[in-house]
Amino acid sequence: MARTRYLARRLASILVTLLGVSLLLFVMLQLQPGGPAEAMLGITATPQRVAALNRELGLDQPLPEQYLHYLVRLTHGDLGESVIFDRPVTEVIAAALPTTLKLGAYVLILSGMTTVSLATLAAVRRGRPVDHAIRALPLVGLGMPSFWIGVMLLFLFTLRFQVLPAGGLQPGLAGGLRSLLLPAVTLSVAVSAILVRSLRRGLIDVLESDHVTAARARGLTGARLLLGHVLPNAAIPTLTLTSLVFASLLGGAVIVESVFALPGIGQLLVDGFRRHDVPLVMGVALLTAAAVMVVNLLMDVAYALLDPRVGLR
Amino acid sequence: MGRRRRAWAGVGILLSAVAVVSCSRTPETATPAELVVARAADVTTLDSDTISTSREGAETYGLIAQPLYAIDADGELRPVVAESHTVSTDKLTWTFVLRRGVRFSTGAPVTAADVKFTIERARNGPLQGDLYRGITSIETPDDRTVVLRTAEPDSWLLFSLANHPAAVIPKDLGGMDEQSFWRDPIGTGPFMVDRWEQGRQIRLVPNPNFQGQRPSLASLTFRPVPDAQTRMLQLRNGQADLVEDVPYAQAATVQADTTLRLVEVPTPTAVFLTLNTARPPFDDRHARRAVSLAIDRQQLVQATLLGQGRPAGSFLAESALGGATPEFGVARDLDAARDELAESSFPGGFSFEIMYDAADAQVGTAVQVIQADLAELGITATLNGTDRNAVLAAYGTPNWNAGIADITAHGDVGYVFQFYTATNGLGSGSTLIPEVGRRWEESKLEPEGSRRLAIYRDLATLIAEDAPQIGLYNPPRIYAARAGVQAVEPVDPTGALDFAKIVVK
Repeated sequence: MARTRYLARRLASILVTLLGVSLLLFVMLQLQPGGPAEAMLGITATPQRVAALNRELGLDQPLPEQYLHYLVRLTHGDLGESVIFDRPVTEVIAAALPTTLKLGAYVLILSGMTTVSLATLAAVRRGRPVDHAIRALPLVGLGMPSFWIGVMLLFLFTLRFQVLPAGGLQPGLAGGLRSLLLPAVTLSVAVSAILVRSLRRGLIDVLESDHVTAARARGLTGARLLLGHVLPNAAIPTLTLTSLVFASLLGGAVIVESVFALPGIGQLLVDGFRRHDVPLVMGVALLTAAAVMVVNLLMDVAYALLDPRVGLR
Repeated sequence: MGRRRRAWAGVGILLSAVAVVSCSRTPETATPAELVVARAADVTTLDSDTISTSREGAETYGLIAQPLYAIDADGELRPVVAESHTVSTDKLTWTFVLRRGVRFSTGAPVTAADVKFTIERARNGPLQGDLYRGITSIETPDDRTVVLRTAEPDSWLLFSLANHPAAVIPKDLGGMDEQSFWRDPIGTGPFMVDRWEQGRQIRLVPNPNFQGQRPSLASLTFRPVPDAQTRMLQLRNGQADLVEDVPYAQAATVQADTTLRLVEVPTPTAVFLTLNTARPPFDDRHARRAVSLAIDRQQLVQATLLGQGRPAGSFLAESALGGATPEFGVARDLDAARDELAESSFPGGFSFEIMYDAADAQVGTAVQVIQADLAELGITATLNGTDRNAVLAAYGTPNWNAGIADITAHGDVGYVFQFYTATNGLGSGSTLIPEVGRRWEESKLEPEGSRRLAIYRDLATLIAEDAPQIGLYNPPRIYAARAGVQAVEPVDPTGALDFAKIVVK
């Protein structure tokens, strides 16, 4: 019962936060110089043509009225009409979202595998050269910008070895895995760089704890000890960090989708900003804000499930 | 084997499979007759009115639908859906006879009713409707005849009718709703839409009912690849057969590669410096002329276009229909610039700010060259790199000094003068040179093409000498293709390619 109340409260707070985000976004986008009409008409925009187009786009209404209309439509799941795509924003986002979701899942799998293996190796070989090498990785991973890593990987694997496609999204499961491998590796480098350090610290702490010593005394060793007793406890702080990394992952997707020509929501955001497509930018930004908050909630729930000391209240 | 061990073995097999699938060699994605083109941007809409905001949309639509008359690569008008036309002596009534046997991609014949519907829809377009609002009535005495009446003589009418909104579509959109129709528009052009996946590709196939010579391509696929380096990689590894917007820095490398070919096409685009003549310092003609004479345009072409393209003397590109390069200012003349400055209200020099789109690296280089050129004259230019929309918005205010702008003239440049005499950053000079407005009105009444173009050349010279807009350079469009892609030629003066003629060997 307490858990249900907790979830309901958190979901309600997400809705309130989204309302605040939508207002903030709306105000910020209105503060941008120019408008969609100027962007569409370019240098030949006359005041008359701008006014006519604003009327056509419904932008001649007072701003509070425009925002209220937006909210009313939002309650019906209508995010408005994209100016550049000339069709509903929901349709435009629905077409782009699967690509970003697939990329995100790929990144989580790759960075999860990398993080667990490297952090475990570093923790088990603590103080040895391999540990020092792995601890240096975050400096390298965070020191290289995503676009640079992406371009280097492209040159290496598409031109030098010619084993992977140079951008674009190929059809089918195999095509998708091939197309998304380099973008996923590009994003995983930075994500793993952050998580390895955190998980290594957690593993070392847990490995030195009394309950692990007791488990060892009971004869538990190797994978059983690691997977059954060490990792679940050591992963808790890393899980919290993962939810923060998720937000930066979305930011990285904007650049990576551009370099790898992936038709995801990062690309939509760039196009929307560039061409002053307010409904599209609002739609994408609200969606990503909601995603970050939901992931945060899920991480908190996972935290409570992994650590019985933590309650959902 | 325990359950856990089996599970790990399963994960291992899955990961190995992913690795094998991921690292197997890239297959050739394009067979010889299927042309894949990597473009800088996606086709976001094919609606004949709103495509004016998307070069990619406009050029794709141009392959699907055809107008009554079209402008060819030499800038000449040629009849397409129309067979001929006549104009009444009062120049107010235009009678078009449609070509026999022209059919839509659905197989339905094109009739006068379709043309009437098309022009009426074009007239209501929020973005390009202005081009057609002078048409007061449209009559269709029979299936092959369309009679247009205009409120006043309009010498550009054929050019307006050659624009995309007037490309003929079926009456009442062939019974489809707006959204469905513009996802798969029906026209009479050489291609039709086969598949359109947002952000990924738009695939065209030959129109079986096309009246002209059928394209030799089995299909034509446009893929958006925003990053220029990635586009070039796609060309080199065979994912694309042709790429658009080759970076100038890579032109020499492509030229040196025997497996590739470089195609450079002049465009009707001019990049220019527009000055606010309503406030100091550029309300002073001598100050404007001093700036124009002090800029080394040859150096600009070297620095920004790496030697490709041409220096510009006008805000209308030389290769635009009716465009010209007036002599004033094209060659740098520092002595003449000093004389102009001495005659101005600011003989000791002055300061001003140049706004430009900070996201445009080419323009970023150009403003630095201009800044250095003007410094030699004692003029201090402060650079304000900002968002493109912020620059456009600033033109609507009285508080700006100067900005970098570009304009692409589609068809007859007379319509650009229309904006010049009307408004904003482009039009601030009209009140300074009354003759521009007068002669522009005169050009509207001049039906004879060569005489009209002569007026435009005079207007361009007048504006260049008064320097409210200072031409800088004309950037070309650069394409790169695999060596087997042949007949890569422009279809019109915009530099768009004639994909119907391209042959892949």
